[in-house]
Amino acid sequence: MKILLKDACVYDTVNRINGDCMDVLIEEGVFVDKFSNTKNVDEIDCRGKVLMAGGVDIHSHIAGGPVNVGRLMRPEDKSVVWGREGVVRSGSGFSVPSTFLTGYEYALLGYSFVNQPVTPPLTAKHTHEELLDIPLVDKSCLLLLGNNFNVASYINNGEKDKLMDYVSWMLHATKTYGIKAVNPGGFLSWLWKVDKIAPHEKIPKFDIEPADIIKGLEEVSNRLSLPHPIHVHLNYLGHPGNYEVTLDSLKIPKKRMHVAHLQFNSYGGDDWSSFSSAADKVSRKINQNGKISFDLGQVTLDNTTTMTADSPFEQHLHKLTKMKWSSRDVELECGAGVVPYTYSKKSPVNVIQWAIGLELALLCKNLGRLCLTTDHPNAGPFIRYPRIIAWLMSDKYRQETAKDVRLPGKKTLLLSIDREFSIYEVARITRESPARILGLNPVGIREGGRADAAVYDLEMDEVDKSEKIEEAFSRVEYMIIGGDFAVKEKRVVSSKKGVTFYSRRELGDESMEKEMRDFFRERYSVGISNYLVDYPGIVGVDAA
Amino acid sequence: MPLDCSAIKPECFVGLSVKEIMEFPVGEGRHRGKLGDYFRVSGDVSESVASQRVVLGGSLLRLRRVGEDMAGGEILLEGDCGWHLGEFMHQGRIHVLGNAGSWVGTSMSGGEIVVEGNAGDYIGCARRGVRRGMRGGRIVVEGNAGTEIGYGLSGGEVFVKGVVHSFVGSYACSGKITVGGVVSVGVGGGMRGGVICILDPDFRVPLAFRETGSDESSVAYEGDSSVHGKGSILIQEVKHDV
Ligand SMILES: [Zn+2]
Repeated sequence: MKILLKDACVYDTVNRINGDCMDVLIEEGVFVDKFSNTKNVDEIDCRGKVLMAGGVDIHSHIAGGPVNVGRLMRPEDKSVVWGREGVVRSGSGFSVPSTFLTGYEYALLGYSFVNQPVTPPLTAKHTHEELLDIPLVDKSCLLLLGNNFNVASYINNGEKDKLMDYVSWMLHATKTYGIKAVNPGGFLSWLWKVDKIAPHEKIPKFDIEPADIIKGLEEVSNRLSLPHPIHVHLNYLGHPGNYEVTLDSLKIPKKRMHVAHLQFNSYGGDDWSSFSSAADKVSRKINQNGKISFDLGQVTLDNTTTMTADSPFEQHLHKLTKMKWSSRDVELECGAGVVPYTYSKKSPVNVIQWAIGLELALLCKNLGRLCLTTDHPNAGPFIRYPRIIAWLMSDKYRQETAKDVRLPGKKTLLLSIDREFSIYEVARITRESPARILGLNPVGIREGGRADAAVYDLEMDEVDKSEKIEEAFSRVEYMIIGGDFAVKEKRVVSSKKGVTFYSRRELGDESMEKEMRDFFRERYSVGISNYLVDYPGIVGVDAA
Repeated sequence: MPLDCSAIKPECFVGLSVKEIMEFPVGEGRHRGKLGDYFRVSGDVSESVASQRVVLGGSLLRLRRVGEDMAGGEILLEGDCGWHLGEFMHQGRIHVLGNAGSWVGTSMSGGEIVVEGNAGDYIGCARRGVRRGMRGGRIVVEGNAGTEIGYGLSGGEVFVKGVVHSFVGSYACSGKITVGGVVSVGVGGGMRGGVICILDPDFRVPLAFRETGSDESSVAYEGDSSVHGKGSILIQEVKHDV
């Protein structure tokens, strides 16, 4: 299939193309400079329209145990319903959409890759089955290890080689892409009735601190040269005044760490009534610290479903809101909780949370470290990305929203920041930065690169109109994934399956396999043969 | 197979021709059809919503979601109708000459629904998974109704002349429910506010409610005490001017 996108305004930060008008040629799934012959070329007039590479979402809960629990416990979330139309299958859900709908909605936003950040190892099989069901986009998922009993024991006993063998075996067994730690040590402590734990406090029944777990996992990640640095959801998430703990945690890694949904960890004040933004303090440290990358976790002020492997936090939230709550203990590996939550425009705390996310983005100096997320669906559903882009691009729109929600001006800095993102910068935080941090080695819109391209219906002279920005980014005019049309004239036209990537690493000697066999027989509720994941459609990525 | 008729409401038809109305989407299972495939459409179309009247005849039991989100005008259903009638309705009037199915007036905020026959379960109830139900308006059922009438009621009025089954007014916090009698358990469970009026002097109020006063025609109770609620149950003799 040959496609010619004529006269598009290309924004590709990988190749430093900033709005140049050019023809983009696609043949056999890749970008080309010249067609092999000019027969059967599908020519599309993109004059004046914005063209970007496929978007990459670094942190979005789109599949797996907690997501499915969210779907089950929230029938009221099914207000969005898509009927079947041709090849497009039906689906429903707003904050926890069904699998097909997830793929279509991402394609409509111009995304082609989504990273599922939380995979409790025991539910890896289920997660992969759901991921493989999500059409159009490619996926990867991260292995949850921050509260794993084995990991904590190996670190406790100083068995570094064993830890490495264990992690590479787990990556192989669960077909995951990288390492995630959620509130490291927090769940292990919660089991002994300790509600929250700082990075330098001792974990009950062990001789280690959360900082040791982060260091240990970081070392393994480096030794295995995993494509994505360790992905950490820090301690004290969601508690007022947690920014000091955050600053402490940022000093822990030796080389690289990705901090998830930093907004939830940039809170000042002592309690909910004196709650304020500490985004400036956190930003200052991040701007100085080259080892840290982060994603936003921007609050969108919607009714949504929170879900995290940070069970103690979900219990805390349930006690605050009295909303329905699901909590799960995943054997020796971790926990997970789900609580529905409404970020209300009338709640000063929620409004300040909204401002904190934007502040973090606007104060960030090195955009190569910043990724746009809502921690879908924790701070808001991913379909709100266009609105966040509009907030980032328009100071006027921010001021209007701040007025509308009565933002307490003294508790945040937002109103004093007049920075406005350009389309080029938006392309960077939605494409290049997440792709580089995930280790996807993006080549952008260049000969030989995989043909993922999103064409937005945004004329260049309209970029100062916020409503127009939001509308244009909400629905791509055309979306091409792997050289085929996914969206044509703002309608989804394909249900093609994407693939799921995992990091294929050398397994150590057979002793780990044997040890795990015994361990499963003794301690697990499932047999090891039911634990191992292997499906067609899961693609191994070897170390570079 | 049920028919999704959420497009059938007065404001959708205002100012259109019969031909255009025939093109309206109707869902049958996962397939999408046209209104004209299932109905014969005739009559005049009004210029304003308030004066628009829609009359549905024939076998209506398959119909779902008629009058959803309705904003004015009137719908007359000449027979027994299906589920989800007038959900989220905020203005206007729906009149059913026969029986109605379950989920009548779910989460409605205004307007009036009159059912001349019996009605199913979950009348004036909250949508599944939501705490707050009907917020305003009025539902009248001339016959009997099923379980969970007015679950999570937070405004408006539900009036069932006949008897209802279990769990009337669970988690209600405002509004008024009047029923001719209750044949099973669980009246006002978790109730925090509002009024449940039962026109049956022999009815025995649950223990979680305590008596607060009486006059010659009624006895008042307050509860549910297990949630420190301030809802009230009134036991009254049948009066004809309710
Ligand atoms: Zn998350």
